[in-house]
Amino acid sequence: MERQATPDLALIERAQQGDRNAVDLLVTKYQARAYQYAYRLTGNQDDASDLVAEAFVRVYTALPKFRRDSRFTTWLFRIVTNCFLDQKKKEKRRPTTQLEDDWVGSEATSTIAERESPVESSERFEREKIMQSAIGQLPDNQRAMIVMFHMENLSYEDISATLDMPIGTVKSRLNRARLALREILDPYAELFQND
Amino acid sequence: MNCDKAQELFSDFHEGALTEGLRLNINRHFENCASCAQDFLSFQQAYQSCSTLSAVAVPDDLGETIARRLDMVDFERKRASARPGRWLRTAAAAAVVAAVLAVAVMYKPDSYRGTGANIIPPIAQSATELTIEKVNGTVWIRFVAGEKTRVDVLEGGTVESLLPPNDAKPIRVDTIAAGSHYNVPVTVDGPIPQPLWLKVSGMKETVGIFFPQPAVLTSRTFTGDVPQTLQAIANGYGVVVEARLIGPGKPTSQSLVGAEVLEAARAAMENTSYKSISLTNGVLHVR
Repeated sequence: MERQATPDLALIERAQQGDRNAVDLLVTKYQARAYQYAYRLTGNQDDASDLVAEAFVRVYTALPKFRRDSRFTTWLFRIVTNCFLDQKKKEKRRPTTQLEDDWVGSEATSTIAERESPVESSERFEREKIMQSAIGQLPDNQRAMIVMFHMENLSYEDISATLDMPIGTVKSRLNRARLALREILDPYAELFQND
Repeated sequence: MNCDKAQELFSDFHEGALTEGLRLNINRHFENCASCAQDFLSFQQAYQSCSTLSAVAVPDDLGETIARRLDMVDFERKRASARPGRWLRTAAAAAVVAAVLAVAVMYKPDSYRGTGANIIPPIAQSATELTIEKVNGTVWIRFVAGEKTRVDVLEGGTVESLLPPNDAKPIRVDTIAAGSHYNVPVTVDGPIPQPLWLKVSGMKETVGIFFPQPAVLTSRTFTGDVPQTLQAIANGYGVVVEARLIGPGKPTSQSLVGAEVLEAARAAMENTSYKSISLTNGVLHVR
């Protein structure tokens, strides 16, 4: 696995020596990417913010043990994923009262395509809402893989390293996840045909 | 090749990662199986659709939220290293609960000036009429949420900070809409769990409160820790701690400022069997 660029290494070294400013710089650099990932996992802004904050607390406390032979982003994605899976396990063990719709869709979407007509905007909004909902119906582990591969553009090798899982398992689970998505999205095929 | 095997290879086929032999086999299967051929077309569409989601806007205050959580870690590290001994840990943690409640009385978001390890985040700032009360073996948690708030209730674990530790066992989680009343009994089998954690997560803050052992609050070891801790926090925030405190036994109510509230808190907790701590309309109650 390739090593991270020197600036990251330097920041990590400083952070491991107790330099809080270096930690803050790492947070500034990677918080947006971690948030994108967390939002697609959780489907809402509040849970995504909580997840990212918790992940950075774990990063901060575990930094002294971080071996610099893997990329920081791989490690960060692993921690965000573990926080998410831990949270889901806890939720399964206790009664949950959910008073608001979790899968709100694109309330937080910022990227509005230029020259997009109102009809196109509306269709895009609808597609994203359906897609986010479809991803939310996948088993937690498969959901994480789909988001990492298709939205964060991680390779199979990266996902394998992030989840500490054989690459063959990653591939077969991702295939199953895509087959499941195909089933879920089938009734909306017309809406997705223009993609 | 049968249909199951063909479906197992959909991703590799789509990505062009199959060997020539397998690619020919799957093409031959599609020629003989219209259903799989159709499934593969919709599979390709789903595959491509996965990558079309737009980026989402990152909340403006995300960096600040993370920084405050890291500040808490710094604070806990500093506090742990300054601890006089393990036997005092629970008592000291109990003192911090009372201290945070007292500081919350005077806390104003725009007066938040602390940095680094001096900070203890205030209790759910927008929650009002917060009450945690034990009645006949059931713990009641009540407040009015000023913003969308999530409450995690957990039990047990090692008392190391104001946030529930990883080894705490979850009991329930609730999401409360802004302006809603939260009034939830937490019933547990057997004795009240020690400690009971309440993790309150608002839009901007995630803080924990824990409900320590009643016996600790009657202990003499508690004396002395409350004033010192309260004073340290007051200094850290640069605010004057001011509260009216209703003590146990006689229903007295006093307006107190600075050192007075510290003395009153100490006196109130020294001789009580301790039933609840509550914060209602800016009044700190120790019952």
